[in-house]
Amino acid sequence: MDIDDILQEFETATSRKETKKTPTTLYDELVVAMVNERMAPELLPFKHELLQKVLAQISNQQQFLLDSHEYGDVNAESGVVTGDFKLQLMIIETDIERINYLIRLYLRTRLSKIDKFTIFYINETADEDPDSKDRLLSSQEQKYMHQHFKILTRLYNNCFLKRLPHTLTLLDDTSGGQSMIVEPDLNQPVFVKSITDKPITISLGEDDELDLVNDGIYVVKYKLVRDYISIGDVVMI
Amino acid sequence: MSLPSHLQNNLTPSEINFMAENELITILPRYSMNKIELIGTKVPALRAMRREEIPLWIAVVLKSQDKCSIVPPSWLNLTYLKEKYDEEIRKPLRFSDLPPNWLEVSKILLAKASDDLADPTHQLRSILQDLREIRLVKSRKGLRELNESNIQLNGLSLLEINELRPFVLTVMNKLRLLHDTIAKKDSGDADNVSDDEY
Repeated sequence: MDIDDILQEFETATSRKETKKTPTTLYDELVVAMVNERMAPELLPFKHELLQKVLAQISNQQQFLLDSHEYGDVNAESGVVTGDFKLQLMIIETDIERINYLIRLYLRTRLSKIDKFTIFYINETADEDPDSKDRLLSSQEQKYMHQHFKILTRLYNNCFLKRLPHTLTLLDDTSGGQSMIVEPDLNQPVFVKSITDKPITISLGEDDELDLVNDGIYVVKYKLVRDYISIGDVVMI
Repeated sequence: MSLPSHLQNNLTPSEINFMAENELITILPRYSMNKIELIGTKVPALRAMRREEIPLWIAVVLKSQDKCSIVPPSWLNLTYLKEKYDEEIRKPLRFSDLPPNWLEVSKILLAKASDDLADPTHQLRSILQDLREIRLVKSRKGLRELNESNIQLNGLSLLEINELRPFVLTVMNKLRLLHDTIAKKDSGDADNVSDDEY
């Protein structure tokens, strides 16, 4: 072991301490967003900012790849392009694919929830300001939801609803003590992990309390940790 | 549909593997390479024989091209794992604290970089399997403690949680529904005595 090695280890040891406080590379943020979305029983607010950043980065990288390929083609004969260069391009391409995959997982999970709770979210987002920054759905999702619902209602109507008595044809019937609107069940238990230093106390009702300590893994009702998930003190796993 | 039902509310082992591939790992490059700017992370400029920390998946790529050797993490050796195994036996009610993705990382390293590990791979594999089994037995025993409101499962890795998840969540959900009906009945009991028949 030479002096460089020792220095290096010292450096990594200190830098690791720092990074542990803020583990927020774009990649990590995406993973957290994806897993949270997958595990939560309801639709979480769309990560407008994060997705915007990531998509911009992806197109940057793709431009870089295009430029590099051009550069590679021009200099192919002169032997400037080494295997190393190709390897680097390959790593960049793989990285783009990995991020793409994560985004796809994220969006697909959201779409499946929108499909499941269509009427509920149409009602929920009805009086949202279309220009506000913290909308629940992205504009594409919004469009998808409405069109999907339109097609689906038309299909139902044509297939069987038109032959039923008029009183039975409502898809959002809430009379008769039974709501026809499928709603997310916020009481579902979820696996969560606390990632802040300060302990979080949640009440379990009937003067029962539970402390969530750092790094602890718990299964609790989603409703109880909902607020902590939105500020990021607790992540779902 | 947009997401197959086996993917809903659960992760697949391959997805967990995918997430573990982004764990940072120390490598010892054999060649120099310029730094690469990636979206998620940054790969620093590599210089021969100078340790650097890079994401595991890049390390595996470089390794397959013989451009680096991987420095195994401090927990992936026989002595440490034996110690943890003994700890698992000594404390039957606790899980020893292994890194949250020990199963995935060790699997990747054993498959792709077995020549960089300090100990013979068959011994490592067998101690990892032992650890896995004893923890599995423990978590199964812990299922007896399931109730309708909450449980605590410190020290379990993501992959192990994922195995338990479908069972735990379904059972807790059912218990919760049962519990809710009891609570409702209790409040309704005052004017309805005939409930005793059930």
